[in-house]
Amino acid sequence: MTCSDALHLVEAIAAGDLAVDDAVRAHFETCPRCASALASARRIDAALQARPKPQAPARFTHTVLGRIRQERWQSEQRVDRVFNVAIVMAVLLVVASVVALTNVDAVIGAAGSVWGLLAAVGGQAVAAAAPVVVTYIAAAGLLMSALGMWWWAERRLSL
Amino acid sequence: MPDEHDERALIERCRAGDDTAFGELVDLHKNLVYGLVYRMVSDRSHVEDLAQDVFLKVHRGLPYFRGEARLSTWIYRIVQNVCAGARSRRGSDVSLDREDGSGRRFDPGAADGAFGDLELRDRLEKAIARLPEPQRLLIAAHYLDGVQYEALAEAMDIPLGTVKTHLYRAKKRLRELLDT
Repeated sequence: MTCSDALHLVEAIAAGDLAVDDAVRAHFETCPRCASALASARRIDAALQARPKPQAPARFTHTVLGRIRQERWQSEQRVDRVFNVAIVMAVLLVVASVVALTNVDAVIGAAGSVWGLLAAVGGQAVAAAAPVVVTYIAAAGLLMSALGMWWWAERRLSL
Repeated sequence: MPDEHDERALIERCRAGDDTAFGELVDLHKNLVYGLVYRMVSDRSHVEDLAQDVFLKVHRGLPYFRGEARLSTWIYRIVQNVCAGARSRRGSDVSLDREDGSGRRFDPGAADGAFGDLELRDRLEKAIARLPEPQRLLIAAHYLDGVQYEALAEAMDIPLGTVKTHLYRAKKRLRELLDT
């Protein structure tokens, strides 16, 4: 038996999982290195056995159930809030619809005015932005390149 | 530990919203979970909160538990995830060096037995903290009362031989850490 073979068996012997035959016993009795490894393994096994075996506190179950009830209550509160908001929105929609139905001409007129205003403002904005679009694209490209280089450098540093 | 049939019945009652049933489930597994968490995290002040978190996750996950494995297998996984999350939030700053900085090696034949045991226990805890998460869980579970190889293999859903191999590997690593 070689030291390599014996050292492979150390943990199993220390745990009492392996019946030691004469050849193995003879090796451990004559090899100080393997004997020392076995003594270490046995001491570690004993220390692991002696680690504290704590029990859960007396009111543990009660506390867990309390946290579950609290979580459930919070979840119900959230559902209640969403439901209340939905009800308010629905009432507002119904009221708005009734008002709109009783004043169809006014609503169509107002919608037309809003559309006209949006079209005018949008057109002006596009006309104002058109000459500097190329500048914005170049600036965005530069910003993206800088961010890309920063990300690459960070990645290299963390490897 | 309940047999598979009782366990399924208990899970079904929990799924139906029976808080008493969930209380029974907590009572059945609380010492295992508490013991595992106690041994998996270095900051003892968070053990109870983390053990409670495990059961909150069990409660939230029960509607999706398909029952392909034992409940304890699933609980072990949740313990591992909760402890890994706690460790990553707090970071690992465990050093195997002695407090006095002498860096003395672990001596199995130390003359002062009581002091040697205390010192070994302290360094052992720090060495365990350096093991990979699955090996820490195996070491934590195996040395709890009455958790044999067979129970571990069933609970972790791995073959018996693999449990032994992983445990020997973990203990060899501990020996190497303590010997250096």
